[in-house]
Amino acid sequence: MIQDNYRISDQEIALYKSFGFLVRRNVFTPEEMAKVNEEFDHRRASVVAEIDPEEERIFTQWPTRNPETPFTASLLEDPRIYVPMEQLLGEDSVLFQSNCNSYSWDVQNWHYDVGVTEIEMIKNVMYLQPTTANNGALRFIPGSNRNPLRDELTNMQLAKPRDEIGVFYEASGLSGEDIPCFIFESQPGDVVAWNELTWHAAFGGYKDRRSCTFNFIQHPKTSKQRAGVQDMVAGAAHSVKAQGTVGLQYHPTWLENPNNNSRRARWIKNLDEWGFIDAYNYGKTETK
Amino acid sequence: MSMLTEQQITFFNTFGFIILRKVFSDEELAIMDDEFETSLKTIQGERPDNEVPKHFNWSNLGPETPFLSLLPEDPRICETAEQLFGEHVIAVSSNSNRRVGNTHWHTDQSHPHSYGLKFAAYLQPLNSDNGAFRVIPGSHKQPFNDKLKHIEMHSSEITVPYYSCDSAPGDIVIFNFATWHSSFGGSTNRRMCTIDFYKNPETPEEVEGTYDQVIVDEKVYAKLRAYGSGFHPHWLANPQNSPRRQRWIDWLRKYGFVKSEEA
Repeated sequence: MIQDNYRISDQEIALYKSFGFLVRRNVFTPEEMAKVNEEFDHRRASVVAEIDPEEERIFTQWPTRNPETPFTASLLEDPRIYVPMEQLLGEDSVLFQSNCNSYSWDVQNWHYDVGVTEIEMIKNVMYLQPTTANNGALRFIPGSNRNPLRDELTNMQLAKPRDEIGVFYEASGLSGEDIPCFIFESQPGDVVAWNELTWHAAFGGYKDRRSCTFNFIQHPKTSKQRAGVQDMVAGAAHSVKAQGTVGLQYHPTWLENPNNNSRRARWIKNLDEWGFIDAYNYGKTETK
Repeated sequence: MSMLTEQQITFFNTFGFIILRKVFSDEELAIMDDEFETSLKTIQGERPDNEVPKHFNWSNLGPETPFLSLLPEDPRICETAEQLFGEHVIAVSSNSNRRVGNTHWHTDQSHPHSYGLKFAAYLQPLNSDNGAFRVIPGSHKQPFNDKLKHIEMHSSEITVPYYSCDSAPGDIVIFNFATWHSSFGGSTNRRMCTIDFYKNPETPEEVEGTYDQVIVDEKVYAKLRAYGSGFHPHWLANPQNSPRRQRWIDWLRKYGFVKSEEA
């Protein structure tokens, strides 16, 4: 059953603020997910045709905001996505990144997404196939968006890159799968939103495991938060290159905002002011 | 030889619990089962109309359960507790529990400056759906621990994310009293032996917390409808003159956990 009221409850807000993530079931219908998968098929085929076949990729990513995936792009402005985010991050928060991802790797070891701690960011993910513990489900360590836990996990070297073994794992004989956590087993249509500082992982992935992401950032108000935004802008080009994102994060057709959507207009204004459009689209590393 | 490795201690300190696998042999489990069953039958027989309450709890420190009564002093138990909470840690209870149904989310910490840990040995195989210990990893830490107090954990509006400590007979789950835990889907006859240790108080706040714990323990045992005295005269007599047990008894008397009439 689809939620009639797009707002999340006070208890759900408290849950997110305590655990660092929030699971929302049946946000989108099976029919909607079929549309997303259909668009995903088409766009993935065109993306694969664009990239060097010799290039070894464990992950193919393209931005959602493009004219080839109109229904998926429309979800950015769907209240089922943005209303809860505005409750959690403020009504002036901005959707700054949105991607479709086709993974090939079997393991995403424990990590958190951002190095910037001054400003809160939330990633929403929906998987386009069912996930289970042994089949690519995302895992979260509750409360790990906060210290002291976040830094303790860093000190345990849980986040060693692929093919490297951290000291804790080596000495304990444990592997990433043995770390106690909540496992987000999901069906297409479920969405999990998490603070991008929360530790997460996935094991048992497979070729073309699919997800769509919608990342929101709170509006920077303090000098520290503005500095955090500058850091993100400075790192954007590297991030796009490292992730091998195919296509522009902010497609010109989306920036034109042909329907004069007021929320999109506000997002575009902020993204431009903060330097995100130049940084993510064109690799510029300085804020305006 | 240390019971826990450095990494196991790190695991416990980070996540607020740890599962030790195959601590007890099959032979030991057979004895534990037998002592549990004998005690349960005795207690049930003494209740009016063989009444079966939702939660049966009794002390294992009597002479009728010789194996279980010595578990607090088993090096696998007490030396592990000493590694985790210091060499002056005190065993304060050794109980058997027969539970029915769900145990909702809670911590075992009654005072912010009272620290303890529990060893739980389940006598049946358990998984997430039939009563295994559920835990929120890391929830013993602040500010996470306090934040959870402000959530209506029983609310049907939310599903509390958790980790299930699936276990087999012979395994032990050790957890910090402050760690949030629960159990759902349990059978009508879930069996568990527990041993509790308190950290020796070192600050005025911790001493206050320990005295507070005496009052709380009395209330808890009354609520659980615990059978018999927590500290059997036979155990308090310390017939083997165990120095470790004697230190515990002296401490329990000092703080009032053992009343004069029990001595």
